[in-house]
Amino acid sequence: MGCPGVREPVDPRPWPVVPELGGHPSVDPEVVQLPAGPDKGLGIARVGLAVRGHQSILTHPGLATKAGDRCDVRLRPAGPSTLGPVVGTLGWSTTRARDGLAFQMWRWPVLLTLVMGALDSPAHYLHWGPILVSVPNLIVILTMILIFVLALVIPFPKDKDDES
Amino acid sequence: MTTTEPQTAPDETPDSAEAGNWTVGLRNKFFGTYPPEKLLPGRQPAYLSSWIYVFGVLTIAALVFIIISGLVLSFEGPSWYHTSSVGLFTNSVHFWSVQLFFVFMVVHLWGKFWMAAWRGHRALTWMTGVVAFLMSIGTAFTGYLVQTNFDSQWISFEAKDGLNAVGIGAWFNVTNLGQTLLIHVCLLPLVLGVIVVGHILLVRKHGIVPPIDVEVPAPAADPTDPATTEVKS
Repeated sequence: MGCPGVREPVDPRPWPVVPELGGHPSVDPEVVQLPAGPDKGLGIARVGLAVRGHQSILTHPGLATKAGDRCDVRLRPAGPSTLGPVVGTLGWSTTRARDGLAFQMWRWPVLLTLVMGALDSPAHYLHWGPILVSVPNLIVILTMILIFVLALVIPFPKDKDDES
Repeated sequence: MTTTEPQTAPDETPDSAEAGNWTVGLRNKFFGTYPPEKLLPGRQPAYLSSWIYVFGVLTIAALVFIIISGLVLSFEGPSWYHTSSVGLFTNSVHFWSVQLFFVFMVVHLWGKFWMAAWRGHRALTWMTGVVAFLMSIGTAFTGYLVQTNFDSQWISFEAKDGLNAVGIGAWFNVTNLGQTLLIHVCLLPLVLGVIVVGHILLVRKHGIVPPIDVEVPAPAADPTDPATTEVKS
């Protein structure tokens, strides 16, 4: 990857092979494995995703390049055989993942892990003259302003007894 | 058969017996300032029917979540909240409660600033809110320092240089985990809790500030309550 400072994963054991999940035409997932690193306070997302002490992230092939640009990402060889531990951690057996319902069920953690991966990445910064602000901080500030404006303009529900 | 003389003279009333008793004086002062109907009012002025007045109590609600999750974290320790699912969840509840606490508090601050909430002898209420805000920043900062992960290492070593630059690094050593942990879990929550309780009591004493353009009629029921007697000049 050419990224300096990539740490080795804590547990380098290979992922179990799950051939029955391979080759799905629309997803074809691959596992991008993050080394154990700083806790970003995303434990809620991580509860269902921690696999033997690792953080893991699923991604579509089209997003793999973007994820691969992150210098703290360690890519495993692409292949659907690496999906098994994640599915198992989420509580669905690999056998159940064969049917369509279970297959759809694990799509939401894919989105969740994509968001988590974006939050774990180094932030982009915006620079206007002396003003320097990261995009996440700017989003939080704009969200607070939006909440403030909404609190002023949205009518407060009134008690029927007080209407008179 | 013998009789016992009473301890007090017949003309001595209970009030005179309690004269000079500091506990009685404190009780009379507190309940004189905060009668139950003012401490826990059943009705509020009509101008409170706005979402902007909700963010104070939302801030307190988030603080309750922070304290409860923080108590659990302090009892179980890092070996639990870094490794187990429940521990990670509790750690996240603590973290995200802090984020919501600050969002609610900032919106509360904006609302009070733009309605000049220091009007009507409420300067001390405003100042305790300011101090609570600053103390909260310090508490959150020490919280980031005691996460016991790479993030806290990075933050502490960056902060170390800043604190050394202003000359207090030797007194407040952010790389000293024991010192920072005690400050975070003992000192600052205690001080912040006292300030927040004082802030709430002052709000109860003076009443919630009305909007600037609202004329509040003086009710006959409680003419001594500034919250209901303030009339815009």
